[in-house]
Amino acid sequence: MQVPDLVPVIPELILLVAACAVLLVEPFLKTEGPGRGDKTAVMGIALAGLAGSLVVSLALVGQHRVSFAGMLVLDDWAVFFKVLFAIGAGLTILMSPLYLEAHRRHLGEYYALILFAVIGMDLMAAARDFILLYLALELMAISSYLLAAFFRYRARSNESALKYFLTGTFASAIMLYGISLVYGQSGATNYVAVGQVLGGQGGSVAVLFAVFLVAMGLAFKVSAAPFHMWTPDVYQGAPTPVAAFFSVGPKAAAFSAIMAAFVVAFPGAVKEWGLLFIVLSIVTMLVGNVFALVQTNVKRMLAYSSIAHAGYLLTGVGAMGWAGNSYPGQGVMLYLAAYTFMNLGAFGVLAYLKSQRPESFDHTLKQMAGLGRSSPWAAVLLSLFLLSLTGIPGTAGFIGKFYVFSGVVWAGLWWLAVIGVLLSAVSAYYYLRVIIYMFFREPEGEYAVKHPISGGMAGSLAVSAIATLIIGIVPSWLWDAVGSAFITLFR
Amino acid sequence: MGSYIWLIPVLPLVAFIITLIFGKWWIKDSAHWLPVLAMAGSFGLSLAAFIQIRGSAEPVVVELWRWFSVGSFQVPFSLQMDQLSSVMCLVVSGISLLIFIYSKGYMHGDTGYYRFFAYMSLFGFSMLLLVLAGNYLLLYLGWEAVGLCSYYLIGYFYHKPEAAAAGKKAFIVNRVGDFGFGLGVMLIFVTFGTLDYVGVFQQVGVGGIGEGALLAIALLLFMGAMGKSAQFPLHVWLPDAMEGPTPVSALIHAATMVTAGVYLVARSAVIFASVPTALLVVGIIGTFTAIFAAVIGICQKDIKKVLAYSTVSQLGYMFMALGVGAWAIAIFHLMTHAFFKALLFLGAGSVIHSLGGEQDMDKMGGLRKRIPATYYTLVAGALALSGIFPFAGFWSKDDILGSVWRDGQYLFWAVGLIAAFITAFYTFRMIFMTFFGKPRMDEETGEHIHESPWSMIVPLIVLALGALLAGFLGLPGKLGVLQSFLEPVFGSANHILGIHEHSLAATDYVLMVVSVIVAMLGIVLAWFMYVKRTDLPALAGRRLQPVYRVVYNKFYVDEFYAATVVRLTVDGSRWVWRNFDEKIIDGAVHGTAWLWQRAGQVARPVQSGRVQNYLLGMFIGLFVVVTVVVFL
Repeated sequence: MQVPDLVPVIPELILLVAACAVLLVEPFLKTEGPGRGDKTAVMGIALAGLAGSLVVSLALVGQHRVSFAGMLVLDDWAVFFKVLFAIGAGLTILMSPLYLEAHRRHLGEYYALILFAVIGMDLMAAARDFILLYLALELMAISSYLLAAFFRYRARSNESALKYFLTGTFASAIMLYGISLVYGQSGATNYVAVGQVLGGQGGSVAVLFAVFLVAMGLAFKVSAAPFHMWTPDVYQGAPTPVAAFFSVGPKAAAFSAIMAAFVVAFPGAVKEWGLLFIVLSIVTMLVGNVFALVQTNVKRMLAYSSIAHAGYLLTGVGAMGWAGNSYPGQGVMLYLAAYTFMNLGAFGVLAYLKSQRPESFDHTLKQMAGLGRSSPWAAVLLSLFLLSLTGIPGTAGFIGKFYVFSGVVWAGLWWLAVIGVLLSAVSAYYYLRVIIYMFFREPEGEYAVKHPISGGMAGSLAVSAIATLIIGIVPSWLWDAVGSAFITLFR
Repeated sequence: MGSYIWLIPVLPLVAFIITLIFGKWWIKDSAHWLPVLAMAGSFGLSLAAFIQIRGSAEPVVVELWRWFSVGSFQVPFSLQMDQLSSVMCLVVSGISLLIFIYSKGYMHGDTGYYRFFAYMSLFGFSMLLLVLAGNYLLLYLGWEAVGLCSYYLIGYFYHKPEAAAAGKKAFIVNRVGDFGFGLGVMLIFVTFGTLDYVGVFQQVGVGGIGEGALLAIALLLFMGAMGKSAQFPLHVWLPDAMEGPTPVSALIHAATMVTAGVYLVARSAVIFASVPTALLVVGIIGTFTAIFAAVIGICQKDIKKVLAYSTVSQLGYMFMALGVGAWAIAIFHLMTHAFFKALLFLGAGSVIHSLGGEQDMDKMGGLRKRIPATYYTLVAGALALSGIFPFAGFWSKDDILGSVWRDGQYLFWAVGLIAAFITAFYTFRMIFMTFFGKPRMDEETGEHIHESPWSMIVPLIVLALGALLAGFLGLPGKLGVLQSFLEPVFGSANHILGIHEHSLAATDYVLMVVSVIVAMLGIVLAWFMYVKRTDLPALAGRRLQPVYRVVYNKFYVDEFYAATVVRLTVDGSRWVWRNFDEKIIDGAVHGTAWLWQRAGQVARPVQSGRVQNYLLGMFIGLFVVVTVVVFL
């Protein structure tokens, strides 16, 4: 048997080794009662694995390798996402111990599960074959279900996992059906081969049916409406760092898969799938923002807000297909990077607050009152992330929205950009409301925090905050990186 | 050189960030070290840039990064170093450095010690960014940032209501000017399609731009300059700004920030040179402000207020010079003024410090022997301000009057000369009231009079040397080192106006002698009234009661504003608020909010929490899409 070129998967192999090492080392660590104890060693292994994967990915910039009989490739496109996922997962891991420790569920497999999920995400971005895409997606999804259920003695956590699992399976089934139809039409599962066969006959009903089924399976993962309804329940029930991870990692992975698969495999039907995503984006922005408005629970609000952001991102994907223009697609990549930092940061502050009062804190707006005085750092950081999510200039969120919407305008869909901007103006209401509560409302009870932000949590929030500001103030390097990564998709 | 000029503003920025974050619980009483070192670094780099830029015909433009770009709309973050910027950098960083050192002594023991140094560093960053900006947008950014720092620092003693009110006043009055400036920047982009200095000036030089557009741009920019540089009728904020700590008054409200308006006009010299009407407006406003503020200065009792009006008046001189196209001379006066006015403020601060916070000159007197170092340095500053040979003010003020004469604006010249007489008078009135005669303070204060610490005296001595020697950089005619140094920047503007270097003629010498005589007369009159016949001021005040009252009340400009603009704005705003805002806007906003809330509530049951419903939702979505595909 010929050994395939393994260089493209070195980052994933590193992660795999690290994940296994975590599982092997964990039993030898001392515990202080169930779910407690010093887990620095396994955390270190996991972080080292992510760091290794990140460094190796960066070292592979500029290469173009096809491996495993064309099932996956290594190009700057894949590298961009591998780096993004490694950073996102690293920041999640840094913020986790404090939270898990406070809930007495600090177990090593948590880190292993995150690493397995990252492997799946990496492969989704690198995949050039529907079968690999499906397998990678399931690897990511199953790890996610387990992570959602990580607090298994809590009903909400169980509920979260079960809902995620049931709806996720349903979506997978739809997607698999779509893939089988694609195979039926083209006789291939490889993107390039499918693209060559179907290229000429994009318009036929049978092909469109297949394309749309695949689109819907992936739309579920990015929580586009009407496939979004699992999102708030899952995010709210899952441990907060896990919800943070869900909202950036798997979502970005699904976006990378959508863009790679549809651009390469369905070039003949760009108008049609472009239109589909445009329609989905409008519905998604509308649903996300309207529901976010009425939430009184900040964590749940952030879940709806992540749906709204998926909507903004989908406008870029749709415009990219509709106009056959790469500019909105680059905007989507930049937005994903910006979104990773600001959304992780926002969830991170909630995780910190929850870890300070695991019993009484329930993420409601009321409990955020007076935070500006009792914990000024947390309040200032959360304000920064929320302002960025709103899209205030000087923050990453502004730059992300700016490039996505200007790409949409570029594609000639100015009315879509207008809808997006108007709805993101609506979003200011529910983001700024949190800030008003933190700084201008008197607290109803004593909500003092026990310890100031420190350790990994501080590191994670600081990196997120600095990145949010840097991307907001000096975005040109990232824009250039995104531009050179995007074009490798067309090789 | 392009490799390091970005460090000039960034060093104070770093000092600001570190001092702000760690100042409260870590650096505390040694908060001055980092800002002083950072500013020293900026000064050193400015010096290096100054040496390197000498004789270079083209400006050095460094694009640090593009903030964002869409099509032709580019927002680059670029710095520009040329002769003008380098002179400004040296003045700003040099004076800042001295004042930072001085502040170590002056602010000692204040509860907000670190806060003071943090904001001063932020100001240093903003001001250096302002003078190094390579396009109008970045200039605007620096412009707003110095305004913000000024607001913070005027209101530094925020527990004092006057200080808080003064900060607010400065902010609002500056808004008026900045509104014009902002419109000007937009108009520049519309007209030229770029905001870069190089591109804009090139297009103006080539010609073909409508006269009307250029006039509008020039006047709008000048509106900003009037606000920042406290020119009539937007001068009202500067005297009130003296509520801030004295080092702030010296640095921001005398030496650097208030000269930003002069810098802006000089930087846009090519634009102004192309529209003579705009130049005339600049000249008239400047000349009027010069004498108007000088007259008010005669009757002030607060030592810092005297200096504040004097600053307004001297800024008027600078605009007078700009009004006749004497760009380099305006910058020359800006530089000498930075030296001697900072000196006067710091000296006044030293007096106030020694008297335990007293600012009323009626309660001073006889301090000559008690605080000699302060006395001698302050007299040096006063001589420079009065324009006595060979002090710095003599050369620069004389250059201004000379160039006004050469341009044929004899009215400007005459007004300027009278203002020079008044300047000498009020300056030495201040000196004589403070240091001569019998002590008028109460006994307890009198006992505690002490000379200020070395950290305050050394900057005074350095500045006094500057006040004595800086004038030799700008000797008149062809001897002027500074003028020929700045020639590459102002060459094209001078070309448009047809101004050439001139040789010294007999008239120039006559003018110099005349102005020194006039200044001497002012000093002698002050001596006669405040040392020889101390009963005279009271007598004059009684005899000239109506005039005195008008001048003492600063020509009632504040009252006029309160009765008209402020009143109208407040009443008008209230009406708009009641009728338009509450009913229409709020109605619309609340209506929209209500609509969304309603929509949210109506849609809420869909999110029931039941997985069956979720799957049903997905299925409906699927069904709709499939239907659309099959039937359309």
